[in-house]
Amino acid sequence: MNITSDFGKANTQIVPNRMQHYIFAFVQDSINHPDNLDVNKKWLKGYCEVENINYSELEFNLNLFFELLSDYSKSKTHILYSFIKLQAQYCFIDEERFHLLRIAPYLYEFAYEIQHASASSQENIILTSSGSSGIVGGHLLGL
Amino acid sequence: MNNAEMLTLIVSVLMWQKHNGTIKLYTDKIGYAFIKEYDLVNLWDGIDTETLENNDYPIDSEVFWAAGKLIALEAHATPCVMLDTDLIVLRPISHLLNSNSIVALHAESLHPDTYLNPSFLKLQVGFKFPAYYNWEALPSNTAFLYIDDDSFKTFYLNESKRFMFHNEEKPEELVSQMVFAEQRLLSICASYKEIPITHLLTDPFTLSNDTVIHLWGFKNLLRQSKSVQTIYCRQLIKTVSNDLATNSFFQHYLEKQLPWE
Repeated sequence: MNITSDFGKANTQIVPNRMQHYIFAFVQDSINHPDNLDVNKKWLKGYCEVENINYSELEFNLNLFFELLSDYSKSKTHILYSFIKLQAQYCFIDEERFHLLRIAPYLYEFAYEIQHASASSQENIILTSSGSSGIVGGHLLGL
Repeated sequence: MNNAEMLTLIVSVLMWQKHNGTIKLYTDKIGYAFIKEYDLVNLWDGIDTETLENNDYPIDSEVFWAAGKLIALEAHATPCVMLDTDLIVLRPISHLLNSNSIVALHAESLHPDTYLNPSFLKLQVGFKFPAYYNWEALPSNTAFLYIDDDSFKTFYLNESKRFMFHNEEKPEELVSQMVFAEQRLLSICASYKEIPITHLLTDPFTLSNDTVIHLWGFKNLLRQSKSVQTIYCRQLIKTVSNDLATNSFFQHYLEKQLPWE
């Protein structure tokens, strides 16, 4: 894939507001009722076909979003929260809708984590560096 | 090494070449076999395996896990930059380097669990710290380190080697000994020689940083989560795509490695 293709650009699909509402409802229902996910996906796929939205790309991004939520349920860190919030955009969930999902706030304090970041290049160190993004320069990556 | 760390390594090299000059890899035979396996041999402007393979310094590599960096630094002529493979410099910085003698990434606080009180450091029998050591000097993160003067480099590395050589007592953790030898000693030596250390960043997470991406502790999360790896890779490619759009090595790598292909 040429790096000047869509992968290197911002999400280029134009998704109408009604579709964004639908996706939000899909995500909300799938979070609250995980057993509904497969059925919900079938409906979403059908809707995407009607609206001429690339379902494969959307499904890929939604899967990433749900995987992050699963990671976050085990370890509520600031950096994972940042990733979830970013990935929501790739699922056409804007900031206002994202807050309606009521994802529980992260637990770790910034100061504790960066104080223990000094030697994190050592394999055995389990403490992480997590500030505004956890990555030095994370804001340069959109985090 | 996962895709995200691999991509970071590649982007680190390519962005340095684009904006700041040539870059040489110092590695050992195992490291060389790894990069050969992943078809990365032509990434750098040169590769040196002899320096590390032929080195017989009496250094415990488990305790001093970054000693290889210092051995490589010793072998390389100044002025030079030592760059960690998880650090990306996004723009030209020669103007910063030309006007300073020592440039490191950022200062670090003297957190007592990381930068131990000297009385708690493990030492070889008979070793004493010189009286001139300034224990208040803030350590410097050396994921990026520029030194322009060979005599200072020699002085710093000699102090570091003196601490590391025959220092065989195992500490309870594998952080404090190495960060002292590499990062705290740099600042102590610079303080003694009255050479100021300039930092690329005022603090590691400053939003005024428009130059550096450094994985640092984030590597631990990357290693735990494939979804985080995927998203990080996407964001990194987006960030550098303008700079590397016509770089054939980068294009070739992406064609082979994109996660959903």
